Amino acid sequence: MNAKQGVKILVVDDEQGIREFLSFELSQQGYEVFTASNGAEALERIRAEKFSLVISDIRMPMLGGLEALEAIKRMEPDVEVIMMTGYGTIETAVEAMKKGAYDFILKPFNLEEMLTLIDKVLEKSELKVMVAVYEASKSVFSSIDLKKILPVIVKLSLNILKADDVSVMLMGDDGKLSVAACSGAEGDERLQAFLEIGNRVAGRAAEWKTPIFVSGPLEKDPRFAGILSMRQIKHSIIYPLFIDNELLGILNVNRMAQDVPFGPIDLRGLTILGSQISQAVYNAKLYRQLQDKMTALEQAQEHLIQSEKLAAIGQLSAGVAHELNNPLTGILGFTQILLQDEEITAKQREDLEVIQSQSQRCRQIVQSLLQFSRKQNPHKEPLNAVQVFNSVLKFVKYDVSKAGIELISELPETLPPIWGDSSQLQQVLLNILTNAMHALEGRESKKLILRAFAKSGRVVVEVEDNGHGVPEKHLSEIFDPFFTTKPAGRGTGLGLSISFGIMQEHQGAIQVKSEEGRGAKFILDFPVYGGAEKNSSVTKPQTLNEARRA
Amino acid sequence: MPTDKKTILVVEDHESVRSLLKRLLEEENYRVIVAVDGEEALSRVSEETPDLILLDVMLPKLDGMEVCRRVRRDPAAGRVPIMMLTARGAPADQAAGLKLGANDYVVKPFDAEELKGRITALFLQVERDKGL
Repeated sequence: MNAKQGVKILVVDDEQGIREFLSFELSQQGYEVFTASNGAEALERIRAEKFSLVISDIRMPMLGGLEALEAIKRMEPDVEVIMMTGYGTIETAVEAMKKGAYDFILKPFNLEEMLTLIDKVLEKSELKVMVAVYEASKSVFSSIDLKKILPVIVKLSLNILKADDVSVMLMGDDGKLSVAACSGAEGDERLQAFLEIGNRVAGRAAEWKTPIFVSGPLEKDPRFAGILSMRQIKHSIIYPLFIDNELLGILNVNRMAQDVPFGPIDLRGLTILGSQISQAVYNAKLYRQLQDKMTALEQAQEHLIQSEKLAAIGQLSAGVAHELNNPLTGILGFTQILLQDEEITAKQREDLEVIQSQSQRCRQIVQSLLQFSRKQNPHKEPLNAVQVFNSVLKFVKYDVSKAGIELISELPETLPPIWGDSSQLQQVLLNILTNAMHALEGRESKKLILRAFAKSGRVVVEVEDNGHGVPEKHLSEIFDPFFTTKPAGRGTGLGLSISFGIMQEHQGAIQVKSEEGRGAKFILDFPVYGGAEKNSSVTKPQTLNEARRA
Repeated sequence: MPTDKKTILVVEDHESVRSLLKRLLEEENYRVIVAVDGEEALSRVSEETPDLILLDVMLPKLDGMEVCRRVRRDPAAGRVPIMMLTARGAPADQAAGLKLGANDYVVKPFDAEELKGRITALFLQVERDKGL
């Protein structure tokens, strides 16, 4: 492409001879030349067209050169202006330069002189664009946060390419484009059309690898036939963002208000800008991948710490539990002997029964501790989660109805099987149901909703109540061993941590969602049996923070 | 001291549990002899073959598992019924004890009535086996 092609020059002079001379000679050079015979006409021209350069006489009727210069600079600060002047008006010419003219040329001039000057001006103006692009891209590079980069990209593209509408589409991990940022209002129709354009380009961008220029309404372009009418777009550049043959996204730059096609200078600016944007988007992508890896690493570490913590507590608990079992045997046994003595008084019997029940309670705690510490070998088999649910419901149904709780069962007829130990899973469900019943105590309406469903290779089981809920500050602790808010004597604080451990052993996860005062929802999910081998390699064990964050 | 009372050897290092068992069993009209550790248990068995051994697992010197194994190899006392008594309730522990030849397994803290019931049941079982 001839560098001069598409460069528009406006010649303003009241002398027809000069206008025709310059018009002819500059056209010969490849420039696109327009003329005006006075300042007012020049301003009208400039309003309608985008010029790279204005060559204007100083002394003209209607609107003089200086006034015209001021007006032009106000309208289009980037347009370069060369003033033509006679000997008598050199002072005025100097004045013009102060007002922003690039240079002046004395009449009469020879053609060579004029052409050299024009070259110089255009080179400078192009340099200005490039400098602007570089300056701008520096700011793009200064951040690797895509959220910060995108608005900058939009703004830069608007400024540098003198466009009034810009959208950036990025390729997602799923290989689909989506609009990541755009200027102006985010009309759904408009975004949809952009996406459609983007998708069509994306399909071919790999082959084309060049920006696509469209002039006139998109719908007239056969490449974009059928796309939602985008009449208001007059000129468009669709620029694929590439790094090493990888399509990262599409930059879509439009001119809607001004009917000025994109020219070679725009292309040059776009090439620099586009490669910088590609690089920035690529960096942001790499950074995000790095962050993901870091997060995974942190989670793995946290998981390790948690496992070690659990193991240490487990060992300690086992030791303590064994030591407690012997004295408990004595207490319970002798209490029983005393209770069988028919000579004791009713009061003594009452007291002994307190000793007995409290010791029984100790025994339960010790047993939970042992259960917690024990590395049980689960007997896993293909299970139907609904059946596990139902077997637990048998235990609690009586208590549930006695407590006035409305049990809403949304359990399906069939579910894909899961691979699990039914007694361990019953224990998990029992823990959760017991907690729910406790949370419903003292509530006016008491609802307990049970759900189970299959979702993308997982079986999900939910227990939801409208009880007191879990205060936010406790969400981070409820899976910790020995954490309990229940009154002394009611909970050991081990139920949920045991459940957490069991779920981990099942390559599953346990999560809690709750709003204080409005209820809580416990969500268990398991890999579907059969898809397990495939899943297990990618399923990383749930970390405690993941359970709490849910 | 010949008597028609059945003799039970209680092997238990914890004094409170030992005296509880002694008391419970004597009330049931058993004759109770005791040992406080594994070695003492074995020497009691060699002195006099009891009708049943109530054997704690975690014992000083020789643990209950080892005592069980040695009693089973003893030509004189090899067929004495053994009931293991332990603070460990894990199924794996129970299985290990039964594999070594224990006849039953009771987890501490136990219920007095249950313990007495199981001992009676064990004796009935032994009687029945003898009759075969």
